[in-house]
Parts: sequence; structure tokens; C-alpha cells
Amino acid sequence: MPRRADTLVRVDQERSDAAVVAAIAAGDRRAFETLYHRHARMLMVRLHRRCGDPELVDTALQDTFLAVWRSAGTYRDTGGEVGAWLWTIALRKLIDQLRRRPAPSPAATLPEPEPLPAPGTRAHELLGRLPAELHDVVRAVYLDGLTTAEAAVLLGIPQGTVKSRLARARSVLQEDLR
Amino acid sequence: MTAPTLHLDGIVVRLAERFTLTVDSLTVGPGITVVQGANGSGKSTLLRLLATVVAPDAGRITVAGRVVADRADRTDRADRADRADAAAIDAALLATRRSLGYLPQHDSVPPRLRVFDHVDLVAVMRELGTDPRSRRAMVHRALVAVGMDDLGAERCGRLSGGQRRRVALAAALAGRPSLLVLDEPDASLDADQLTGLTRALTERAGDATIVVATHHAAWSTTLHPAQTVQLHEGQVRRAA
Amino acid sequence: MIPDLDARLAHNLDVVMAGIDAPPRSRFERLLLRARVPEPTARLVAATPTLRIAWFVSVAVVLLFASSAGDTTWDDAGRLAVLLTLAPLVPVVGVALAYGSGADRAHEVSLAAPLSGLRLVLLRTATVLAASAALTLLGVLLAPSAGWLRLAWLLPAAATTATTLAIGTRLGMRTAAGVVGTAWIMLVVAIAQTAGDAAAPFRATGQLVALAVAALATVVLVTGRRHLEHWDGR
Repeated sequence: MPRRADTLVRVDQERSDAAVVAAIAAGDRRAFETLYHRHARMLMVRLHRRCGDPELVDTALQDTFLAVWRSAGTYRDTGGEVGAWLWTIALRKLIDQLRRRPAPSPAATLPEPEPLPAPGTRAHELLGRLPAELHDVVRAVYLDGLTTAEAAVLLGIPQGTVKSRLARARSVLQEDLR
Repeated sequence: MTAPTLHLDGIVVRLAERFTLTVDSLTVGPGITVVQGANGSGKSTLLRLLATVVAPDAGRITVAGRVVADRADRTDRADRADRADAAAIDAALLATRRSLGYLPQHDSVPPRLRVFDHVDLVAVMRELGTDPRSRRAMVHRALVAVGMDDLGAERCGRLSGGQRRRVALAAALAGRPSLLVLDEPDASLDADQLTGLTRALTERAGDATIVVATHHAAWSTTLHPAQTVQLHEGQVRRAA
Repeated sequence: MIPDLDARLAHNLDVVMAGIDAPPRSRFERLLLRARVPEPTARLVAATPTLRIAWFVSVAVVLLFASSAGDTTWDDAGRLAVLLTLAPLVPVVGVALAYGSGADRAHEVSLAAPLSGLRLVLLRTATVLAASAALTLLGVLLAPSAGWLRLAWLLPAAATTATTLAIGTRLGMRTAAGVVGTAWIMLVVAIAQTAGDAAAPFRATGQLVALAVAALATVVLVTGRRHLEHWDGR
């Protein structure tokens, strides 16, 4: 199996992600496998930073790629990264899974914190100054673009808490920017 | 799942059309066993016996040391010991079927069903997978193994004979059963497909007991069978 | 690091590819799933062989009845009696067609599978029964008002179906269906003629007898389940 995967990746190596997605939209199964081999591992690792339950992560990943197969045609190549597009889908699929299960404890859902945005950037610097519980919320809402309701499901805290932590984060950041 | 060994002892199967299969003693497995013989020599009856589809009228069959059929000393005493024995046989039969993949000689693919659905339905009856998704992943792998995965949504009735044969084979291979009983799996396959079949079977031969009935002597040697069983007019003639 | 990541990646790809290979589930199957029927059961039920034939037979009976409604040579009671006599035969025909090697090419494969033969037979019977009952109920709505008598085929249908299954485990479903069907028609005609009332077999006494027969046949079926756990594929 891994051998076959390597061959596939090699065959499609020079195709850009956007070209691969276009081929998937046209029903190309090999292109689909290429996309999977390029991104699935990273998506799994990132999903695991948000959720410690392997079963939920597996299902979310499966749902992500099934959605990609069905909706590859809706991807618009506007210079945005395919990886980012996949991550938005994956995160929403994970939230769908979390919604279906009884609320897990936040500790179980966050086995290790996601690394901060690239060091040296302004975002990195600012987020680094926030207490941990605040930057999880900021990341979910501002960086991942989730609604407060979705962030609440993902973090396993009430929506009201998300809102109040956001407000606190905003005031801390405003203080810093002044 | 280790490859089971099957023992047949004093077997008699009487079929309606004045045909009787007798097997005094036969041991099958592990690895590949090829069953050869002319039409009407009893190949299919022997395979249906091994696939627990037809019961012997006399004799005893054990699979992996457990009795799945015992008509040797059947008397009419319906005492308690006898009934306990029946329960043990039922349990052994169930265990055997859980690890069994069977390909009948006749076309077993309903024309109305779609390729994926047929294999999936057999997978449901074989109780494969812990949940629907993992079961369907097994179905997918089996379809890949016979090269039919991209025809999953096709109606079986629209396939060629060779394609239908491969769909039926996928239904037997799904879930990697440790006992495979395949009645003429080579029927209506072309040369390329035959090579694929050889590859699929030899790949499984390491950890499974595989019984293959075929007319095709030249092809069967490419399987490098552990043993070959010759049947003639309902009698076993064994060969190396 | 995440344990078994490679194995899980491979498995997840298989699941995804299965989702792409597989045809969409039929509307009937999706309906069953929405009704919280367990997925494997929904698969088995939706794929019951000749479910369509059962539907067609039911439609034929209903149509026959509906068309006879315009026939002035029959009175209402006569028409009702025909419906009541035919309706219990629909599931019997369905069962005969839905089980056995003639109907189902995969019959031998199902014999070699661990799924209980009794469970398979009951599932398929229930499916055929539900399908034909739904349609016959429609036909009943067309029936001239005759109070509860319009539903008087329900218990007889249960009795004929259960008897067919009980006999069928020993003699084969087709033979059993033939025997039960013939016996049923002869019985109804005999009772009706003796009583001089076409609806006589369906009144209270008949219903009680039907209930008793259905119960008895069910007991025979369940105690004789070993016959269904196969070794019968010859």
C-alpha cells in the first residue's frame, strides 16, 4: 500500500494542488488519491491537536475527503491555499462529530496545544502574550474563522464562555497595541 | 486467524439423481488444495460440503479440530448428551462460517443489484466489520483485489461473465477469511484476469486454507498447490 | 506522536474510496435508516430479492379488486369476499418467491454465511408482509364500507404466512406456499358454501382460529429453526 502511494505521488508530483483539485472535480480518482496522500497526514495531526479521540478524528477525516470528492467543483482557485481550504472543511467536520457526541472534557480534546502562527510575525507575538485559555478562543474564532457556537463545541465550553473570553482577549490585545 | 485444517471421515452424500459422493478420509489445508475431476465427478458436491452448504448423509467433518457435522453414529436416542452435542456442533458451524468465504460454481450475482451493493450485502451476511464504514472499506479492498472497484455503481446484470465472476469472487475474498472455498473461480476469465486471480490466491495462501475446484489443469499448477485431489465418479483418488 | 497513524491513514482512505465507489443508497433504504432501523438490517431488507415481485402481486390484487368494483354482476359482499380471500395469499406468494435458490442467486452464499437463517427468513418475510399489507390496505380503502370486515384479512394473512414458513423450513418454501395457498382457498370456499355467507370464514370464529393457527405455526417455526440453520442447500 505505501509503495503504491509513493508511486501515485511521484506521478502527480509536478501538478499543483489547485490543478489536482480541478482534476478531482472532473471525477479523476487518481488525482483524488494524490490529494489524499499529500494532505491527509497533516490534517490528521492537526485534527488530533483539537481532539484526542481517534475515532472522531478518523470519521472527521473521512467525511472531509468525501466532501472534497463531492464539492471539488466549488473550490475557486483564487490563489488561496488548498491546504487552508481542506482545513476549514476538516474543522467543520470535526465539529459535526463533536456535536453528535456527549460533550467531552476540554482536557481530553486538547492533548497538546497547536503551535502558534509562524514565529516572528505580529500574530505570533500578540497571541503569545495571551493566557492559554484566551488564545485557544482567539485562534478558533479569528484564525480558523469559526462562529462562537462552533468554537464552543470544539473547545468543549459554553458559548457564553467563548464570548466572554473573546471580550477579555480583545481588551488585552487593545491594551498591548496601544 | 490461522489457516484451519479440515478432516473428512467416512463421508457419504447421496444426491437425488442417483449420484453418491463418498470420501473415506481426507485432510485439507493449510495452503492451497486443488480439486480436479470431470463434470459430474463430484467436485461441486465436495466443495459444497466443505462450505457447510450441504450436509453429509453419513460421516464426520471437523474444522480446526471442532466437529461441524457428525452423522456417523446417529441413533434415535434423543437424550440430553446428544442435544449438548448438537449445541456444540451449532457453535462450531457458526465459527466456521465466520471465517469462511465461498464462491459457488453457478452465477451467484443477482442481476438487479449493483456491484458494490452485492458484495456489501454478502459482507453483511458474513457479519464482517465492526461498523458499516469498516465493513464497506473491506468491500472496497475486495473489489480492488479483483480489479472491479471502479464499477461499484454498475448493475451486475450489465456486466460480462468474467466481470460477474470477479464480483462473486470479491464477495468471497472480502474480510480476508481464513478458509476459502472456490468452485471454478477461473470460469469465464481471460488470460490477464487469470493472472490476477493467481496473484490474489497465492497472496492469501500463506495464512489461509484455500480449496479450488477447476477443470483447468495447466492453470492450477501455477497456484503451486500443497495438494491436489482427483475425483472420479464420486470417489476420491488422491495425488500429490 | 500519534500511534498507528500510517495504518489509520490507509484505513481511512479505504473508507473514503468505498464511499466513492458505492452507489447511493436507495430511497427505501434511506427511509429505513431514518426510522432508526440498524444499518445492516436496512441493507438486508432493502435488498430482499423479488421484493418488487411482491409489490407487483399486491398491486395486481388491489387492481383486480378495484376493477371488480365497477362490475355490476357482483354485489358488494361478493367483492369483499374476493378481496378477503386473495389478500392473505399475497404474502404467501411473496415468501415463496423471496426465499430459496430459484429466487435468490446468492442463496447458497447466504447458507454459507454466519447470519442466522431464521433471522434472514423472518426479515425477508416481514418485509414482504409489510409491503403487501401496505398496498392491500390501500385496496381496502376502496372497499365498500363493511365495518371491521374490511380488515378481516389481517389475521388470516398472519396465519397463512406463518404456516408457510413453518412448513417451508421442512419442505421448501415453494412447496409450502403451494400447499398453504390451495388449502386456504378450499377452506374458504367450503366454509362460505356451507354457511351460505361469503364472509362467513372471516367472522369472529374464523379470526380466533386464524390467530391460533398463526401462534401454533410460529412455535413450530421457532422450535424447528435448526432446519433453517442450513445444510439444506441441495
